[in-house]
Amino acid sequence: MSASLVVEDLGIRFGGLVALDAVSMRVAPGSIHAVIGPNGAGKTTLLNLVTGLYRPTTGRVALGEETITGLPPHRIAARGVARTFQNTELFAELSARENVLVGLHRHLRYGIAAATLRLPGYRRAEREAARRAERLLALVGLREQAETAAGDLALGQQRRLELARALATRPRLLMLDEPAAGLRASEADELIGVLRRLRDELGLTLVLIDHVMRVVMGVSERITVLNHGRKLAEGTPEEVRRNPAVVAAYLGGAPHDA
Amino acid sequence: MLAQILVSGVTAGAVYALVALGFVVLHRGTRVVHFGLGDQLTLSAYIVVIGQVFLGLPFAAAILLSLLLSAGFGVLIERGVMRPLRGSPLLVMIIATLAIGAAVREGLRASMGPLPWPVPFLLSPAPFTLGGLVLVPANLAVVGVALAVMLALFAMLRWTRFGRAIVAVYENPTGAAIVGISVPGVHARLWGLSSVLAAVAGILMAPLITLSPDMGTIGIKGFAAAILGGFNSLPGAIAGGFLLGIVETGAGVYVSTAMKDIVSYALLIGCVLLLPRGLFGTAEARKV
Amino acid sequence: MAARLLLLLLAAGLVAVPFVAPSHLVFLVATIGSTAIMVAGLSIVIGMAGQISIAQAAFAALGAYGTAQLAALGGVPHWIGLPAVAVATAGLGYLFGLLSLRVADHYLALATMAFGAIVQLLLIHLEDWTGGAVGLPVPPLTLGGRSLTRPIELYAVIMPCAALTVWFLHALMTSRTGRAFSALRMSEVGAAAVGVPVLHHKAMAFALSAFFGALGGGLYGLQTSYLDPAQFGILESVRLIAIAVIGGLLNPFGPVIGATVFVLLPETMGALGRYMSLVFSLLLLAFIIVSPRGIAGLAPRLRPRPGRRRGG
Ligand SMILES: Nc1ncnc2c1ncn2[C@@H]1O[C@H](COP(=O)(O)OP(=O)(O)OP(=O)(O)O)[C@@H](O)[C@H]1O
Ligand SMILES: [Mg+2]
Repeated sequence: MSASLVVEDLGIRFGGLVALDAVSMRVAPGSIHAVIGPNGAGKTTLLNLVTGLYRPTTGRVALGEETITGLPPHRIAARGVARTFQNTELFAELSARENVLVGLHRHLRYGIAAATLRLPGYRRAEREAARRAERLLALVGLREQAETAAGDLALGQQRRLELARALATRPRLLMLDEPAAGLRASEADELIGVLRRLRDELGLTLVLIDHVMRVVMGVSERITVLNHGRKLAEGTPEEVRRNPAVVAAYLGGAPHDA
Repeated sequence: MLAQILVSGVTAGAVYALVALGFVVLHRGTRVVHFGLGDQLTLSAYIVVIGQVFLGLPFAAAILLSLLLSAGFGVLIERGVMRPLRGSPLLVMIIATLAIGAAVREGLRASMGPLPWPVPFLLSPAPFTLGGLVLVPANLAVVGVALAVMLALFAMLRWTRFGRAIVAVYENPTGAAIVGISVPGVHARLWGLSSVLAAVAGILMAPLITLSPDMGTIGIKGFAAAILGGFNSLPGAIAGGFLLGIVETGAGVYVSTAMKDIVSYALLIGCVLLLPRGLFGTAEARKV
Repeated sequence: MAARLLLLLLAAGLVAVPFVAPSHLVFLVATIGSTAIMVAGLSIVIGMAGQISIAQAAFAALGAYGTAQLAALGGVPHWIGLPAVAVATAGLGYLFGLLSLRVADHYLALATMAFGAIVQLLLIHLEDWTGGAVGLPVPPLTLGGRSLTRPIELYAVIMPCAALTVWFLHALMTSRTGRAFSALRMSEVGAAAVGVPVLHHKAMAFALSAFFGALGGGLYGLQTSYLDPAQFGILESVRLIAIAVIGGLLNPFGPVIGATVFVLLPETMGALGRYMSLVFSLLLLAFIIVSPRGIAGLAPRLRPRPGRRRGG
């Protein structure tokens, strides 16, 4: 089941800097919604606020009916929100497989005692987790790298691993912070395919931050444009592309493919 | 009573302020918190004793020797330990400085014995009364010397090439490197400088309490003072030092002398919890 | 296979020790056992969870004093008192770990150090409860009305505990909790984002470290049969860190390896014995300088940062 994400009047300031100023948006269940904007526009900040890393100074975040403003990050994760990070936050010394297993943490239900005594509950849960991890690594094409330390993976692989780790939490809402940054055109196309499949086959709601217009325009149903912490525009890719304010925000030139 | 507490508290506070300055001077430039600074303070006091008792030096010469060796020791730590560890995680740095402190303390215990040594006072320890306040010349000397050293520190940072290079590194290490200041060189100086500040504190402190290898525990209090002051402000460190000295003396009077240290450590934990950025610091959040 | 064989040999050797070795050596091996248990706590909190704790000696003191006084004043047999005190200390450790909500890094280090100092001062000043600076005798362990004080008897109690501790470390590392510890060591935001309650796990790590600190401390107290507050200061905490680091922080056998070095080496030094603490501090320092990364994976690996290419 997917939930809609509702953001109302959301704002935060860091000292004198208003990083996000009364931004509202609504993400339809089962859709792909992009957030774009120039550097420093507040995109990552928006994501940090939704996932509970920062506490907002104003406004409200809700998942469907439930308000989640101010909950700690792990509780928000428990409500089915997963994310990736702009500068990957992998567990660098753990293997790719272990990274995914940490993503499964919440779904493994056994205590320290069961682990110490190697009780059947522990064995069953770990076997099942190992299978799921295997499947997720295969899904993102990292089956061969399962035992490689995350820190030793190439950048593109790290991004895919972070995606697998996020999926391991079984999210309803998945938020991706610049997943296509630094990818080659062919890799970006592949990513588009993966995102579509996540939406269509798993019914996920996706929020996608990116600068790579080929990806954003290609997959998203709606786009929210931020600039200097404010919402500049919102609409379908076509509407946004034609919006003069958006064009002006991107230094007077139309956003082009990276 | 209150005035008396202030007077007594200021003596301890002056010493804490010096140690706190030692922490902050070093940390602002190098980002290292030196958990062995308290033990270096002990070492410096021992060098004075060694100079006097074993080498037969006059008191002043023994102090000079101690300050010089302390500065050298600080530079040695930078060269021998910190430089190879540049860029290591914080945990490694903390363990390294703890190890330095333990080595100094155990070295002193093994070579000088576990028992206290007498250290001469700068002025007479005989108290006199002035306007209803009991004053001790030795304590006044501690405060006076500490204040003089602090003034000298600020003057040096402001008016000497040596000091201005340090300030440049404080403000902007990258910029300092670009204009031709050797950042590792400044780091070495900072280690020396912070060791000297601790040395002065140790030499002032030793006669008032007993000089034993474990005197370095006092470092925790300098640390607390530095935290009170926000850990990145020199005036803050001084204010924190005096504040801690006075509060602690008050606790000794109003609670109990036995509990004095406990109160001040508990205060320290409470302060770390409630004011993690000190009275003068500002918050910073990590970006992701 | 080879590892199993080695383990089997080790176990056989440990069973054989009390039958063949002089009782002085039996005592030393048991000391390795009780020390390793204390150090195991540091493997968890420092090694796995990456949180610095300079309070392990304080937890050991709580275990030793608590057990001794429960027996002396309350008549509680050690068989019940020691585990109970260890669990209570773990609770205290959990509360202590909650501090990490507010502080991290060197502030946390300092807070643990101050806690250690407070515990030691309380041991000295609460004379009615602790015997003060003079110290406190530890009532012997008894079994069926018989006092177990001979090295062999304590060996038989301590070594199984040590073996279980090593097993526990291994089991923890391969469990969801251990993985969560490693995760938060490497990226707290990453761990929180996948639903790991970071604060709870930090507190858990402190709780486990307190548990093993108290357990090891209590056992060690039975061996020495006399407690002196001077044994439980900050330097002892630093010594335990040194043992943990030199033994290897992420190896279940690390505490045993480290404790073996630290317990046996002084025995071979003879007259140089009083320089031993100095030697160990220098050893720790040298160890760190030579391989700062060798502190079993404490270094977050330098990893390539995503390059930034973007639309104009
Ligand atoms: N923790 C923080 N403390 C202080 N300022 C912050 C913090 N996080 C973000 N900011 C500031 O808020 C503004 C918005 O930053 P944000 O990272 O959200 O931008 P962005 O749209 O993601 O940009 P980019 O495309 O470069 O990733 C910036 O000016 C940034 O410096
Ligand atoms: Mg961003």
